Amino acid sequence: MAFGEVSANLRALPGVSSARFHVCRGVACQIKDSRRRSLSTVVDHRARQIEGVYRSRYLKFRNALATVTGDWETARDVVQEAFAEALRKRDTFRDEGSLEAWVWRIAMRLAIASRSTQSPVQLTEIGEPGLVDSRLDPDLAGALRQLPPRRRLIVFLHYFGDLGYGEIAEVCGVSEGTVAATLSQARHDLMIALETRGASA
Amino acid sequence: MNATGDSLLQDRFRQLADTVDDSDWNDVVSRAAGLGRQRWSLNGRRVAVLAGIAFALGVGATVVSGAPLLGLGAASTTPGPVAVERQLPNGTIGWLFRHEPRGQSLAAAQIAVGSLVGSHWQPVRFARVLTPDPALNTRIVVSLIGKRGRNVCMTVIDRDSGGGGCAVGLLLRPFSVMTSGRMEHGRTLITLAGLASDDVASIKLFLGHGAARRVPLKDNAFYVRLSRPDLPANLVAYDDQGRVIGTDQSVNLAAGSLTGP
Repeated sequence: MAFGEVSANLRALPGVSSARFHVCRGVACQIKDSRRRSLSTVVDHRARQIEGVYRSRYLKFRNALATVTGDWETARDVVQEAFAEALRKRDTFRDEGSLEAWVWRIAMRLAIASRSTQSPVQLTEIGEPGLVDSRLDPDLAGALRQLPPRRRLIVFLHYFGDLGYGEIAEVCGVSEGTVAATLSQARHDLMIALETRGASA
Repeated sequence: MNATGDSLLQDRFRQLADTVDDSDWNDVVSRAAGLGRQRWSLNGRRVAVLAGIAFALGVGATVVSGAPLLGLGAASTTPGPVAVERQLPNGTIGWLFRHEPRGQSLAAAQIAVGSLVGSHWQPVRFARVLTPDPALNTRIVVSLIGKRGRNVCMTVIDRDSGGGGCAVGLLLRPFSVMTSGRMEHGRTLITLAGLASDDVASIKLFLGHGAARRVPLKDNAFYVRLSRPDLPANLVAYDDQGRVIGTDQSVNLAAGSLTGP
């Protein structure tokens, strides 16, 4: 039995990629790190984690992504595709950050791609995120429009996506300090804009 | 910016959030499995119709996706029982840890110890070669590795290829399954191999087209083949009184990464 063929045969084993097999020189390396759980637990663990994120955070994803896609239907489609991609590529997640932030990055890329004609899509090309229906709160919609798009996105990720500073930093590829400063400035600007609009109404 | 201002913003955003939960995990699994989908908007409501067979992952998962609409698509449920009737703690394989000489030795089976999964990681303390299904050439080597021989590895040797995995300790609940696939005569051949705990008296494989197969189980090792049209599949373990003690549908998701008919 040649181990080249072993790795080929392992291709379909969820959670254990052939690349990892070679790197670790055996599946055991990976499973040793998994705190004494059984093989089947390890194999399914990542898929179940992703399912857990989906079940607990679906609405947060859809509502935040709708500000990028521009409508609920596309946002829903993006969430479904993002989690499907996360499931397919779960072997590539390296535990170097939060699993949820990793799925958010996939989702954000797909959301931007849904409005972009350019390929490949860059996370920096966020377009003009905004409220799906600005008629529900015209003052807030107007105040948000005054923010730069990137600052607006961070606001949406925080308030609709319920993401913390660290996760937003991972999703947007900036430091936590930048997120904190951006959010603080955005809140300040929003409150001033809302107060001004309230006073003039 | 004070906390009052922040909570005011939180309230305003909360009122704008759409709270209608239209999540559908089975749809995610189907997409992950690479199944085609077509969508229509019917009276403003999105209708998703599966163009192929639907896969389900996880105990109790059921896939029903808009099948009756427009006369297209197919509905599919996980075949066989999915509810576990008897919950068991982690199981083990008694004979293995007692070093009982079941099956064959490596020497008798002409298998080099260096070819076993895990042998390059820790020293092999005990290994036996099992043949769950005498009708097939496939052998499963179950080995104990490590300083005290407490870590369990499984190596599946199927003609000219093989694969496997190891677990630190052995925590079978109630079985571990390895799914693999390959192309043979233009068809995708999927194999399920694994180890079952002493609590498992029999295993059945329920297939999408309604058939059910008894899975050859001998000396706690099992091995069964199926083809892509058999999916979705559900592997069900029973105790000695016929109660369901475990189910596994991970083959349906794993099959999504395979190519071919």
